[in-house]
Amino acid sequence: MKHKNLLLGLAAAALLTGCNAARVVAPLDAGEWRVGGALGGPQINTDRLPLISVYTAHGATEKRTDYVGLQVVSAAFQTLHLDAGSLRRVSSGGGVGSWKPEVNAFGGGTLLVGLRDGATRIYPNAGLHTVWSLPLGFKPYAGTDLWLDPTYRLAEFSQGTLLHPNLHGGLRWIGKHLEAGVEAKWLNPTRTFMVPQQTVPTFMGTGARGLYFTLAYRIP
Amino acid sequence: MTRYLNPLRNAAAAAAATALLLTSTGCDVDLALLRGAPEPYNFPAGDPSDPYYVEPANIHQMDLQSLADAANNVPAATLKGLYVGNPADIATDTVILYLHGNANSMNAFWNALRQMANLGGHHRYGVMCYDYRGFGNSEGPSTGTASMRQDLHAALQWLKDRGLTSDRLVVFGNSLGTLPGAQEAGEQGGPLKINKLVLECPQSNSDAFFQDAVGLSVPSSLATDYAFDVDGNMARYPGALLWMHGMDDDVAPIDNAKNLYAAHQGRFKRAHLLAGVGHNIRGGWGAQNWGDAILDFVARVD
Repeated sequence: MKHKNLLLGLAAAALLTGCNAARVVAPLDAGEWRVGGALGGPQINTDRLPLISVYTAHGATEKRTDYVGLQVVSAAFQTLHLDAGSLRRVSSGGGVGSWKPEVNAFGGGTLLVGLRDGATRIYPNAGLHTVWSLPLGFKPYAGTDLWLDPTYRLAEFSQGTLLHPNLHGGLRWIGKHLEAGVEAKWLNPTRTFMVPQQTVPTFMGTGARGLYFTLAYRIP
Repeated sequence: MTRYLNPLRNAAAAAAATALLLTSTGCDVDLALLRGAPEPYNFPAGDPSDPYYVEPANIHQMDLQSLADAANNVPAATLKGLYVGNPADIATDTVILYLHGNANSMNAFWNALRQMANLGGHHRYGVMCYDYRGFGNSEGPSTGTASMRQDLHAALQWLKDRGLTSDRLVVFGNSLGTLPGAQEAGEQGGPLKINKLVLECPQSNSDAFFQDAVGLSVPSSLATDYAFDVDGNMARYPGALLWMHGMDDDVAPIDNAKNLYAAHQGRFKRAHLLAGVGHNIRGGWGAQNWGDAILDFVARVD
């Protein structure tokens, strides 16, 4: 029985607020393209759901990077699920080995379009990444990602909420041609998630916890 | 410019191709939610000293013909059904039609079925159950409201053909079974009208079901075409309603289900909201209490 409802868990996770790794945590080099994917998702029971997304990012300037992504698993459930946004450097860090982090702000949104009936939702989001630089191209980071649900009044039984915060931390390695990373997230700690006949592990009793792996190819 | 466009174009093409490939799979949450598993049926009569003992001669398995619904792309299917009691008495007996919950087959509900047959006396009531398409050894698959409606109509037709009338019919929906049960109670389009309905740990509607899992105001159509609406159907249902729900139910949240009870404006309603009980009402409340509540509703409510 538990495995039967994992499909619901997978669909729910794919559409869960903030359920993805950060596309980029620091601006790309000006003119650089990065094409990559992310694998991972929230934990349900003892399993980690294998959500897959692909994205591309472009360094518009030295301080600004634009990105767009596609959640692949949502497509399997007949939903077009796109995210797009822009990240901008707010303050430069202290350089390699410094405790002073680089701070980058990002904003964007997620578009969901159901292919069954055309149902459409848009969820804007914004947040911050604080990024440190270590030798050999390693960049640990931590940050927040706040989602807004402008249609929260459409939720059944007045159970919707406007704000959906997420917290995350991770590590990226940026080489000459590749970027790889791992990111942990505390998904929406203001809510509890109910997937019938499944257990959704939480931090401190609320939200869900996700783990994601990213890999991208750098195109100068 | 070209060097900028090429990576973007390639990535977009790959993403589009992947999305198109996946959308062609037509994956739907109801593929998992509406699926049991084939298994040999096992309905042991039990020991004669057992309070819920049923005579072996009163255990009847049959095939039901669930008709096609071409307008909703539902083909005909043969279902496996079970009747506990003497079919020859259907013309005079009160019959409880049990719509089972999400399990491999009706095997999992045998203890509840044989207790129902013995409520208020040995073999006092006839009890019928069947496996929906894709459950047990019924042909499959179930695909949503339309296929579930056809299956329920097949069971009602089988009972009507043997002389059952609406005034002696009680429909009991357990968990998943509350969805077709409430649907038919709201629509009243089948061979027999429903005048007495029991909903045991019901869901509310498909949007609430999905939003509880996602957290955002997403409609269920983003993941499934199974648009069930127990609340809406209860608002249309004119008959008597018994609602039983565990307050610790983590499968069908009681706060959602309260809305269907409030929506019901029919001729009678009663609720048993059970502290310390989860999704398994009979196990958590106790078989005796469970049976007493059903007997009270079946025997004493006009």
